[in-house]
Parts: sequence; structure tokens; C-alpha cells
Amino acid sequence: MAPSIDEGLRPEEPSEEPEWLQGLEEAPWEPEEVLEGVEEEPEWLRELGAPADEVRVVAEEEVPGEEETAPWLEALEGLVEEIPLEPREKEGLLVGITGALRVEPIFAIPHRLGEVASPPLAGADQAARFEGVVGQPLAPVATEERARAPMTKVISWLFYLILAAAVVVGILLASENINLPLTQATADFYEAIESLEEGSVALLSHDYDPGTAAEITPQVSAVLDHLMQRGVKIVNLSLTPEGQALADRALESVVSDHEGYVQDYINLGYVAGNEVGARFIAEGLGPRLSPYPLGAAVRGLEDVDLIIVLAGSQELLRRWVEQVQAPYKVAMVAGVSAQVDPAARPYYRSGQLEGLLSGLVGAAEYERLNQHPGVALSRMLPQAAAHLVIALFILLGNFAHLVERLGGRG
Amino acid sequence: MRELLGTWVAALLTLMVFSYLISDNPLYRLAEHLFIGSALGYAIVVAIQDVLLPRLFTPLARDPVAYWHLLIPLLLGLLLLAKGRISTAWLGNISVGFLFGVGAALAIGGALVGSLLYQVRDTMLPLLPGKGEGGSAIDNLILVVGTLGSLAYFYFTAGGERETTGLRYGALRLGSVVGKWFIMITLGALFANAVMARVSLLVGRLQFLLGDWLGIL
Repeated sequence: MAPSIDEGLRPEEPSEEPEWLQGLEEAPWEPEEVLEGVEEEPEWLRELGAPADEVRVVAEEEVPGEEETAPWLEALEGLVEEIPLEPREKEGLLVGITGALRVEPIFAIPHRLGEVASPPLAGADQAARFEGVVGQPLAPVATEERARAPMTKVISWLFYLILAAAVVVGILLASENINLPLTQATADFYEAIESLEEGSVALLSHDYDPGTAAEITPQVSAVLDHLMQRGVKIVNLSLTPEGQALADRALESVVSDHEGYVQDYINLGYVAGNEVGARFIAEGLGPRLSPYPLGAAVRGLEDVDLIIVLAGSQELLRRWVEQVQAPYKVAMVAGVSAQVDPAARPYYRSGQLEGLLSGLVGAAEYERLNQHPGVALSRMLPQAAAHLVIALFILLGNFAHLVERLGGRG
Repeated sequence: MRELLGTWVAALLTLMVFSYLISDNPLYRLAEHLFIGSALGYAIVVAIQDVLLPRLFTPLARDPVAYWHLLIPLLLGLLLLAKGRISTAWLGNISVGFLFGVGAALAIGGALVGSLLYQVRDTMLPLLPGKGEGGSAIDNLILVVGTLGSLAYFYFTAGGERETTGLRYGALRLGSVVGKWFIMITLGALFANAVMARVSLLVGRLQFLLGDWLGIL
């Protein structure tokens, strides 16, 4: 804890009296005379309003004017002027006391760092040097770099064009009959749905937005198609506001292929509240469904046979696993964006997720397993072409860098 | 007609976003602002239509006595509006405190029970697994070494000026070097997955432009 201002100003009492003080001891104490040695009482001291005793101690130290003032004290001098005096309590138990903590400002006013009187920091030199380096104006771009700029732009444009061409050619040549190797995680996902009997209940959470819809919508279509084939009742909801509209679109497009399925699914829409929302579904699914025909079959989470989470972000997947799967031990599978895959895989490995679909590739694998080719399989060729172009450019870039480095050494 | 209009709007907005490849320009910024504005507007409408009306205002209007307890969230919500003025902002602290308290309690509890315990348990693997124990010896070794190395890399209180030799220092130093490589490989995998996700978006957009808009496919 930092010393108070008064403590900081008050020097320690010397163990032995200095010679100059011994001479003064005989004379009667008169503050005016003693203060004559000081050119003028500093303004910061007057504002401090220190008691007479303390003024005397300070004055005694300053009278000789021979000893050097400590650097930290000099630094303190300028700061102390800025510190206003604490208000004196006028009522209550603390009458007359200054600097008492007040309760109301703690709640109402955001805490602000004031001017703190403290000795100079140990790393002040380094900090000043750092500030000097950071504060330097930017050096003009070297001529060589400036000459290289158009070249960089040309390479960027070349990359964009080749990438776009590869994707367009891939789209034009796309085929749904491609030989796609299957991963165990996708096979487990498929198996989890395949094992559901007719009339079982699946809860499908559409937790994605337009930014990840390109990857997850094909997953949703493939999974919905499979669920409807199996005659599973589906409760749809979303923890993101955009998810409910995307869910409606996906349901409309898939249901049109499955006549007579209209009564067996429902979209509960957006569930607000983040973690609380997920927990609310776990605790209050029955009452939420009670006004609908599906409410007769689902009285609570215990009547749900499988939870399917389609998540565009890591947080949304974790929300389901942490708030619902772990506490209630419900069977759960997940379809995620490729970006989320590294975060989702540990949950699959630990058995918390019984299956995992990853990105567009996961959707394509699922379509192949379900023998119902769709949009995901048709996008595999352009996707592979784009990956090839990116990999080639990374290799070329590294090769160019290596040549440049070797040339520089030579 | 409505679908045709929607397709044209979507196609033009896609092209406006792609125009950023040339440089930052007003068309790109217009598309960006439209996206943010429409997303926010949509979220507000959904919150009113799907949350506030059916779960708060309608029950209160229908039977205020039976649903008197809904006045508490209503009051907390109204207090949040006080945050708009500096002089009354402190009133909203009550609601914010409630939100933070409940959110933090659920998030911390969930993270412990739902993630940490399972993941720690799943890292305690036999380095020579028997039949039926799951995983191969190499898999388990990589997992255990990678976890320990990554933890050692973030162990900042060892070493320094006072400790530059000894078994403990050597083990931590070796662990941190191994951990650094594991972290780099993980970051590489994360980056590759991010690229894959973006490429999927690009493919989706180009397929939309060529198929739905131009009708080439």
C-alpha cells in the first residue's frame, strides 16, 4: 500500500542530531524566525494545510539548504499541487473527519485514476525510451520498397484472378459423383441419427448466421433430410437472432420433398439469454412446447432423444455442451463451421459429442452417406481447386523468400 | 417477382463487397453499412417480436395479477435504460450486476463441469493402451506430450536470473520448446481451417452469381 501524502512528506527522524541543530536548541521556538531561513513557504505546503508540528519538521529539514532534496521528493512537489483537499464530513458519525470514503460515488461514478503522488517508477527510463521510439515519425518508404509496391499489387491481382478462375472452372465442371473419403466423426454423426426410431424426438439448434451459412446450410439440409426420412419429430430453435430465419428457409426447402411431415416439426424461434437461454431450454422445454401439438410428445428434455447443434462459432457450441450436455447427460452431436472444428474436436474425442460434421466437407460426406447428393457435394471440386491454388501460391511465396534470402547472403 | 428482386439485390451487394479487392470504396462501404444496419434492425425486431411481446408484455397485459413476478425483469430492463444519461447511469448498475452475476456463475460452473473436468480426464491416457482402452500409443503420446509442453510454455514463473540451471529448469525449458512447436502447429491448423471456411464462402457466392443470378449453371 502506497504511503499517504503526509507520510510521504514527513522525513524520518534522524538518529543523531546534526551539529547545526544543536546550536538552535538553545533558542526559544518561534516559527516565524525559523521560517526565515526558507525563502518562501511553498504553495503546495500551504494547500496541504499541514499541522504546525509537521510544518516545523519540514522546515527544520529545509532550513540548511545544504542537503540535496531526494529526486522522488522533487517529482512529488509538482504533483501535490494538483491534489485537492478531501472534504470534511459535516454530519453523521464521521463529523470532522476528512477523506472518508463515500458510498454513493462508488456506485454512481466510474472510478477514475487521479494524479497519484508516488515516487518515480523504477522503469521510467525504459518507458521514456520506448515512448521516444514509438513517437518517432514514420520513416519515408524506401525507394526499393516503393518500386516493389506495384509488383506486389500485380501479384495480388494475379492471385485473385487465378483463384477466381479455379473456382469458376470447378463450379462449371462440378459433379456430385466424386470419390470423397469418409471420416469417422461424420460416420458417427450419421449413425447417431440412423439409430433414432420413428417417432423419436430430436432438438435441432440453428446457431449460425449469414457469415457461416455457406458451410452450415448444406449440413442443415442434409441432416433435416435424413431426420425426415427416419420419421423423427424435430424441435427447432436458435440461440442467434438470425438463426431462426435461416432455419425457416432450410425447413421450407426440405419439407417440400417430404409430403405429410408438416405436423411433426416446430420452430420455436430465437431463445434469448446466451448461457441462461440454453439452460432455460433444458429446464423449461416442456412448458414452452405445451401450446403446440408436439407438446404432447415432449414434456421435457428427458423426452428428447438427440440434440443436434449446428454452430457457426465456438462459443455457441460450448454453450450447449457446458450448459446442457454435461449437466443433463443428453446425447448430442454437432455440425460446425470448419473454423470451429479445432475447438469442437476435443468434445468429440472426450465422448461429449457423439458425432461431428466439419464445414462444407462434413456436409458433403453426409450427403454421400445418406445417398442424397446435394449442394455440398457439388461444391467439393471448386473448393479443392481453390485449396490447390492457395497451396501453390504459399509454396511459391516461400520459394521466392528462400531465393531472396540466399541471394542476400551471397 | 419478389424472388427476382431479392436475387438482384443480393447479387449487386455481393459485387459491391467484392469491389473491396480493387480498393476501399464507397460502394463497399455502403454494402458494409447496409449489412450492419439490417442485421441490427433485424435483431431488434426479433427481440421485440419473439421475446418482449410474447414473454413479457402480453402476459402482463392479459393478467397482471397472475404474472406479477414479470414486473421484476421489466423493472431491471427499465433500469438499464438509465445508462443513457451519466447522471442516472448508476441506477443501471443493479441490472448489469445481476446480468454479470448470473452469466458468470453459469459460465464458470459450465466451464468447470462441462469442459475442464472432461478434458483433464481425457488427457490422462495410458501411453501403452491395452485392447479396448481406445486410442493408439502414438495418439496418446502426442496428446499427453502436447498438453504438457503447451502448459510448460505458459509457465512464466520459472527461470529468470536466479534459476538458469538445474533439473527443474531444464525440464521446463525442454517442455516449453516442445510446447511452442505444438502451439505453432495448432495455430497453423486453425489458420488452415479459417482459410477453408472463407473459401467455402467464396464458392457459395460465386455459385450464386453464376447460377441464381446469371443462370449459367
